Amino acid sequence: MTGTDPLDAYGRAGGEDDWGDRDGAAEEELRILLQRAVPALDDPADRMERIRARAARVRRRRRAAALAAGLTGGLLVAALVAAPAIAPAPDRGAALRPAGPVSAPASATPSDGPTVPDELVGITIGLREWNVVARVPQGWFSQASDADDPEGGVLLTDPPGQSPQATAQSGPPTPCPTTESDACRLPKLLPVDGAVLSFLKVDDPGLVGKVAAEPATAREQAPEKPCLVRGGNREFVGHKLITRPGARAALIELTVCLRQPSDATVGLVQPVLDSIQAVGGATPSRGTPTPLG
Amino acid sequence: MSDANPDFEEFVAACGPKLLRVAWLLTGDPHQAEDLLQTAFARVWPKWDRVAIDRPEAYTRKVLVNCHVSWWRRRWTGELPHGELPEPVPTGGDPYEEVVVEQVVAQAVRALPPRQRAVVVLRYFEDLSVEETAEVLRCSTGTVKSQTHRALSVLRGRLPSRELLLTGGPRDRY
Repeated sequence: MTGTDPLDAYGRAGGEDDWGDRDGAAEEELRILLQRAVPALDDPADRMERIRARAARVRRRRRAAALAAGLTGGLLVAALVAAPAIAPAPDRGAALRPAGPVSAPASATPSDGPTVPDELVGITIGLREWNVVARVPQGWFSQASDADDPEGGVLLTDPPGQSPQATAQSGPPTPCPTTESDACRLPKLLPVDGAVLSFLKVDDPGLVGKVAAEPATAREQAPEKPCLVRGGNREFVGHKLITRPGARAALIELTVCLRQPSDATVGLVQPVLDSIQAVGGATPSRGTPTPLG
Repeated sequence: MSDANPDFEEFVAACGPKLLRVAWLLTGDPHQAEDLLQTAFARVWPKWDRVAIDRPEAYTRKVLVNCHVSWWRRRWTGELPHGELPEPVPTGGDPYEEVVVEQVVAQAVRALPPRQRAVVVLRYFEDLSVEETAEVLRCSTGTVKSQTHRALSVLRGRLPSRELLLTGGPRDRY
């Protein structure tokens, strides 16, 4: 260091609170140095494309992490069914609720899309600031996530052990009194003809505009890793725009992972997507299962 | 991923260069700076509808600075403060003077702990007030003041004289 140190003046000469005011000149010198220190930096022409790719990767990672961990929270809501018409267990504990008839939500958006089969029943999914209803086969179950993540959702699952396949894969029936219970987690492997459905609220203004201009159609895609590790061999993705009075439209992404599905199960994907709609106001309390019926 | 919102693309084009300079001061490396900037933009994009309404640049800067602080916490990269810096011996009129200024000042700033570095960049490069800096860093104004004091004390001991760094010779007030 030299004897003529211009930053000596930065030292606190007076009280604790006013040193900055006293040394305005010295601070100005630092400002000059900082401005001159920054080199000429190139702005890549493809910056926007890279940002877009990063955002897509983040979204995929969140979905994968939530699928992999079951109730880890995150953006994800997942559903598992061992067979489309598993009978509900008589006593599943407080945390699991079978799908039941939809109880005509007062403020639900009237469906103006394709007809949803009558045999499907409503089940609510609590997403951040939204309650979403999807119509699924009898016997599907929902469970709320109690994750702290504000985007946390609900796990829909089959009652473990209620079908031969499920018993083989998930072990004996286990009550699921709390959302922290391991019994509420997704089994490692899907049973044959089983499915995991994830409902993800997507914050993507660009995609909202795109979906709004097209009919909500589930498209088959190559199964991603979270699906493959559960034994899934087919995967569908669809988006549905939902609205409710006094709120901006929200985009829900439905991802369906299937393992050796029957034609009947594949045929359920589009009706489930079509059935997604908003219900009521904001999610009243996260972590609480919200059965309909 | 979908097409980006045109407003957001305009925002990236308009504010990218400025925020990249902030990122460079925080990271000291052009590649890391671009990485940090893109990370911040990617986090802002999904919330753009909400962010765009109220001071998007300030919000993005906040995300960028806090990303940097959390990066530093999560993945330590071997960066260590140094008590001694190579003593530059620039002379007036040296064609490499700008490079020397860049290196010396950047090294001195980089030697600061991440939060002190952020305070210095926000207050003296971005010209934010103590209150605004506290809001960005989500801390109290007292913390900003104390961090500023510590940072400047360190810089005082590490930055060589301005006369050696800047052309034009010593100024009268020194």
